[in-house]
Amino acid sequence: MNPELQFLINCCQTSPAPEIVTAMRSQLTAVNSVWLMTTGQLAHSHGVFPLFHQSLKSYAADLIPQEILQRLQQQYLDIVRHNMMLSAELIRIMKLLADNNIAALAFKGPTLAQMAYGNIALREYGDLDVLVQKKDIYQVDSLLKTQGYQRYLKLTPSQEKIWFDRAHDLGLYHPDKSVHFEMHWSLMNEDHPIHLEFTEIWDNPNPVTINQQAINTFANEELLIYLCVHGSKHLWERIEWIKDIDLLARSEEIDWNKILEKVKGSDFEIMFFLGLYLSRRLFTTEFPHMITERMAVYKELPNLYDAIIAKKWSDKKSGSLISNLSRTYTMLQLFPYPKMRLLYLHNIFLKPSFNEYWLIDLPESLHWFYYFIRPFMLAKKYLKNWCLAKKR
Amino acid sequence: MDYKQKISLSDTVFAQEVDGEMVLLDMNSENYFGLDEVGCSIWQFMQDKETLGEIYESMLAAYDVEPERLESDLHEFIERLKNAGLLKIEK
Repeated sequence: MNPELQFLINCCQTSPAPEIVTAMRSQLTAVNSVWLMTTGQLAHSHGVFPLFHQSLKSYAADLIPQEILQRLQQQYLDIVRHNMMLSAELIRIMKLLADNNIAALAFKGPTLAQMAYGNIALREYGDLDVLVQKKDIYQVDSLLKTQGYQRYLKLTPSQEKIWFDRAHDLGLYHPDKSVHFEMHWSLMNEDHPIHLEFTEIWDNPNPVTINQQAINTFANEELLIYLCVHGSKHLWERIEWIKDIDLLARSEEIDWNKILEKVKGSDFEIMFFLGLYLSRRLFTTEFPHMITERMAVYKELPNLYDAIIAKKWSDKKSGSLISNLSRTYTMLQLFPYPKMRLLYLHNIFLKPSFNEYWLIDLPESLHWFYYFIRPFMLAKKYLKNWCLAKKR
Repeated sequence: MDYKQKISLSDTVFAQEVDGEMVLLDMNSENYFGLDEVGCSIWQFMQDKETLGEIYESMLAAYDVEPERLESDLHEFIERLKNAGLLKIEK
């Protein structure tokens, strides 16, 4: 792991041990202000700027020039204000949906920050995620339009049908408030090899109090499973996602028996244990014996840790063909059955994506033609990336 | 000041503690307000007490402060938040 990432991991430790504080301080004495600001940018891209800022203030303020501290404080305050705005908007939207008898569960964003970090200001989030039932999506869409929200995608009726059948969310945007809202009707795309469905998710809403208002979110067990699968699906691009696991496991009461019941033998078991494994390796999260015992079954977890933390986080050629092939290879290891791996490969290389459907609007009887367009679109994408990399 | 008045933050206010200070967001105007140390203390007492009189008495008991000074600080705080539309005041 490079020194900047190691520094961020140290900043994210809950009650860091004296040797970690010493390591952070000694690292700071050997760097300049530019390094600090660059590492601040990296913290932001990993979603952990508030923790980075908090650690610097608590353990190393005497080593940092006043001017730099003030700039970092200003960046932190900007995040706090943005989070306050998003949290206030979430409360408003959840009330609007409840007033219209629409069941909704907020997840990630402000509710997760409040649950895991105990504070909406200590986690970075750029949008609001709310799960609704599929039968309600048109009503939610209309209600949000009356509030000034616009869809990101301008879809023709046939494209809209494809989107609602295959995707799992729809992005909306409020131009005046600069709020991004994701309306989810399921947790994964319809064709994803992993089927993550919680049948009882609507029976056990979990109220989280933000600004003295109760907002319903997932039960702790379902949230933890979801976060692990979501993080794995994106190969844990952000330190923040791993820290979420650590803090959720530390702060919330979790029924681990219930979790094992849902996870054991499921499509997403490796993905789930990868999340816990990363959290344990980076943040020394403690899990009950029955969990660590089951985790030990998966001998590939240390290699996955290396592929993600040691290689992917330091990958300077992100987006290139080689980098994407390496990513695909790592992803394939997260699926337990060959059939799922084949389906994943089919989805990313052969199956027409929304890009093909958006390129030309064909009638349903001609949808097979998109399979022929797909290779050209892929070739175009990688050629463009290659040309851009050459120019750099 | 009418000490029988019940005061609380308006429903449109989002309050957040940041590094020991309070930041208030008025969701209607989308303006942010910072509370100084005195404002933060009054805000803390507002969480538990209903009437202005209760807040005044509790603060007088908790701090080594002249009654006139406390009354003046409370008055200034209430006026400032009231003018910004951040307070709900009931008789």
